[in-house]
Amino acid sequence: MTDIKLLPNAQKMLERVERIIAKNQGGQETLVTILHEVQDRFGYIPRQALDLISQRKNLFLSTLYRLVTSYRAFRIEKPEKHIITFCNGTGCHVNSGESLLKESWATSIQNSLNITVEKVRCLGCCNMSPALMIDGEVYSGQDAQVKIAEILSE
Amino acid sequence: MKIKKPEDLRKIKTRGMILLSPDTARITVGTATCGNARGAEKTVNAIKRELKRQGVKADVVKVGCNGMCYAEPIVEVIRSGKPRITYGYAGVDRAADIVKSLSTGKPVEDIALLRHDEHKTADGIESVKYSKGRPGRTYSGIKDYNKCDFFKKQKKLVSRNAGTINPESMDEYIALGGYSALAKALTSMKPEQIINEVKTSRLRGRGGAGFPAGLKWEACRRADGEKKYIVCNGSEGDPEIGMHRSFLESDPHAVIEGIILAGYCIEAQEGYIYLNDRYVLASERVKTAIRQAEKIGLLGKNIMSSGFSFSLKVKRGGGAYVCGEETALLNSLEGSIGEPRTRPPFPVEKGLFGMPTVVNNLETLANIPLIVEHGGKWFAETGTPSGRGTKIVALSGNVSQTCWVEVPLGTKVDDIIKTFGRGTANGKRIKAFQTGGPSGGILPARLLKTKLDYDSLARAGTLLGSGGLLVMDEDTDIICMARFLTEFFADESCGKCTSCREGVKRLLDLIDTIAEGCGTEDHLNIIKRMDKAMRDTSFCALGKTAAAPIASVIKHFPGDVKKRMLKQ
Repeated sequence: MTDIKLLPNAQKMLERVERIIAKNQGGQETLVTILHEVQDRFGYIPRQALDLISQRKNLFLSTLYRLVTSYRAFRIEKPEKHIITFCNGTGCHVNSGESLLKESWATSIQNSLNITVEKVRCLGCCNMSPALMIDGEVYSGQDAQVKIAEILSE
Repeated sequence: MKIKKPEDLRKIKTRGMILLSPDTARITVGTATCGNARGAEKTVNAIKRELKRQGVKADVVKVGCNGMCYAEPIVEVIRSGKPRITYGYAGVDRAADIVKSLSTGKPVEDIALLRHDEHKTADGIESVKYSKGRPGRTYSGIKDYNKCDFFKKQKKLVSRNAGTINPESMDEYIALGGYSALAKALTSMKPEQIINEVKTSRLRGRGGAGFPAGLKWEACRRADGEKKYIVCNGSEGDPEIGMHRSFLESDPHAVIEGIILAGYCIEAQEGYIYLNDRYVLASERVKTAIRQAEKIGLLGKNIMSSGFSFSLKVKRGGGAYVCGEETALLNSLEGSIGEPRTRPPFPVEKGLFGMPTVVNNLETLANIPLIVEHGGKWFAETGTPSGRGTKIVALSGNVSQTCWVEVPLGTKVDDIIKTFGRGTANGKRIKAFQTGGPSGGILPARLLKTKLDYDSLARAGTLLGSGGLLVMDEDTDIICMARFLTEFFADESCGKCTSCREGVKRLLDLIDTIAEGCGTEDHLNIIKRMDKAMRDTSFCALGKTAAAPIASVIKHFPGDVKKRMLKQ
């Protein structure tokens, strides 16, 4: 790594990543687990964490980067304060999941600096279809509209 | 205490039975993902609060999903000597009524769905008796479990415990006959004998390809390798089904027992459960179950003094649809990109870390304890010649009741939609349906009489897949649907082989042209040719079936397609 002085909280983050790496000893087969643990802790996988993992696991950064971006589960950008996850599964599609997206002020959501919008293939709660998840809670129909309005007015 | 012989299970069994029908009351809340989404956790807390406020004593237990996802949150009340009552739509506001029913003895009739006088597993061996004598007039207004079509028409073999037991209690699993198959196998059966039983049962893979499980095991057993692995495929990437997730969240021990048995047969020392990245709750419950099994010596070194040692790990995937394909899954387990491998060599010869590996779907594995317990012949009595046993099916889309059910293979699609889904949500006509996730074709309503088994569905031009059943009503724009599914493949293609990587993109362009009203006969012909080319040349099943949705639409819905064509 370079000689640039790290900010104190970045230093803390790297210490945490170091501990996660130490916990998952082994070769390449430990990568997906490590990446999950880093993301679970920080909400995304920071670039500096990728640097560190590639060094410790003796991999090219490009190889690791390719792995991270090939999987849908990993984020390499810091998410905003709120995460709205739209279910884009077939069941929700048939039940007009997209119109839920449009009705829910799609543009205002996209333009909001507070919100990260994601799509997943199934939230596993087809009983709520069409469903969306806001900060880990599942919403549907009227409740979803109310909650989104609430976030947008923040 | 470590389990050494089958008799040792008996003590745990008694303990579990007391938990299942205690002298005090037991209130269970369905807390699988489908329940939690509807606020089951809040119901749990509300019930606990109410118990304290009303001064009533009862065990509050979190269980899994019994399949009636549409009626979540589901709460059940078991009182000593009284029938077990199932309540649906039990939100926070109903907690007070439910708790009150414990002291008054009067059930809350307006949300009561069912009454259970006795819980019997479908193999008829284990049972929990709830009511003593006839249930009496208080309960006459509530439907009897055995007379309720939703359960009467199912055959709950694999999912027998789902919604009844606490997924985090091994004692309850053992109380209903759990781990007795493992005990029987390790103390009195040779691996070859079990493989023979599995072959006799004619159990086929429940993940998609439908390969006979017994043959796969035999090939792996014969293969040379210093180490062997068993991998349980819980990737379940199809975008409309959550029944395997729900099943794992309801009864993780059933899958674990199957994996240990498979490991014993192929002489594996290590096993992996590969889970979809979003299955956080399922993964937690499986991990708890593994710890419990290790504690009583059903996992670890020298299991039940048989000389067989086995360890099991859970791995979370990275969220790629293609990782449901077995070789891509193995790559993902090894920490590489989820791309399929060249076959041969097949995983049974050269799989995980280059060693012989069996990859089985988790539902396939959950069937194994039943086969060991009752024999392959018994198992083969259910189902049709092309598919023995049962299949867990998840119903979604335009149905009134979203649910998951377990039916014998060979049940008509029509019956499943009518009996369990109660038809379309608004009484509209069914226009089309789809089985087997995006890789299955879109079939028209006139094929609704098709039987749900491997060969019948293949003849109709689709596949059983992992058991999703999607219903589309007459308002569905079928071209838009095909576009949606093709877009799914374009999104999920790993990009390894040209025919899939480029093929799906070109297909998407062609469908767009048709959807915009500029399509001609030529476009349709190109799609048909691409379908064939992609089937012939793609690397894995994802590319091979990527053109299935649009090709089936052209074949089965000529009217809809024609309306969109360029008027000449």
